[in-house]
Amino acid sequence: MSYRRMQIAVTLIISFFVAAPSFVVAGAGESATREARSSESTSTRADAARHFPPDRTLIAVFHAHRSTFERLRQMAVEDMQIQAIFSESALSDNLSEAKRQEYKSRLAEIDSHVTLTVDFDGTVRFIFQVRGDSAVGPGSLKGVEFLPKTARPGGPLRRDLDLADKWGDGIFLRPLAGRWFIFFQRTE
Amino acid sequence: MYARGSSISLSDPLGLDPAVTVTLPDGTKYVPVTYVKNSAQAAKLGVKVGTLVPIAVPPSVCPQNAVEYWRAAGPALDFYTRWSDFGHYWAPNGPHDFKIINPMYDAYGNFEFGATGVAAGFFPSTLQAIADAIHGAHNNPINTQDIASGIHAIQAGGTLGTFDYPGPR
Repeated sequence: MSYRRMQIAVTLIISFFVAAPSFVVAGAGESATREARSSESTSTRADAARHFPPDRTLIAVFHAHRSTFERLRQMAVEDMQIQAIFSESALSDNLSEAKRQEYKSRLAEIDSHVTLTVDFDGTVRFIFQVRGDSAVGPGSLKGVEFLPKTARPGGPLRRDLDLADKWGDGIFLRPLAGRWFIFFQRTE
Repeated sequence: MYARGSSISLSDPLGLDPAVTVTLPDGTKYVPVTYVKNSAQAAKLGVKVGTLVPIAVPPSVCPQNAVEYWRAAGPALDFYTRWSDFGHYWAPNGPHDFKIINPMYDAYGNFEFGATGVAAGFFPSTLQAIADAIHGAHNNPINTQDIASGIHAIQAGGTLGTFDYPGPR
């Protein structure tokens, strides 16, 4: 392969990892931030993609749908051996059809683009926005997290996470209610 | 050895969590390791940055299944489709973005990226070049090592599995 052809091939390959997934991410947080954007009528789609949902939006969504958050948390813990990352568009065939439908409808109740995750220690995350180019690249995410008493929090408590994307790597938490927190995570 | 006697039944009431093992064709088994690279991982694991630890495997994940998938699918795809599918497989916020569950699974993502990449037929140097590009030309050396570890495991004919160790609980 000539040097020129190799250059073209490498550019094409990188575009699969950087350009295409970036587009996916730009859409992922759109509905998550719609409440915030509705109060900021001048916001553009690009602005919404760049900004994480403000704390006030997550607080409002959580209190408006708390029973749904609780039910989805229970379901995710029950189904941990089948799946650990749930979204409306990616539900395992190994879940029963009834369970798949319940996940879809309850996730849509909160936000049609929210991603739900579960870990061995019972930590459950509702992720409203992710920024990054690849699963193996640096990334930031913000959402609502249930942290059992026995689980390690992974980071300090803060009063406000609206500027957390400027704080550097780490996990930051803001108490919400009981064992529920707003969280922000940034990793290299 | 496995939680509930199964490598894919990973919820262990005893507080043990799965980590990657590699079994070579001659039966030799080893545990690939990684360094805790940031404060978030350290806080979740309850250890200091720089500590050497096994590579933790997320819930519901069987490491060898992904390798088998790409070993079967990769060679059958044309150049464009193979890269496109592989890029989307590792898309952010997708079903294989394991660090969104917990930052300590970042090492597993890198290890599995290398393992599935060579299983799919990509050159190791290309996989590392992609990872460098994603990180603005220079990847973190710990990430590079984890990718290399996954590449080596598959190139050596290894089969991936899990063992239980006292994890972050």
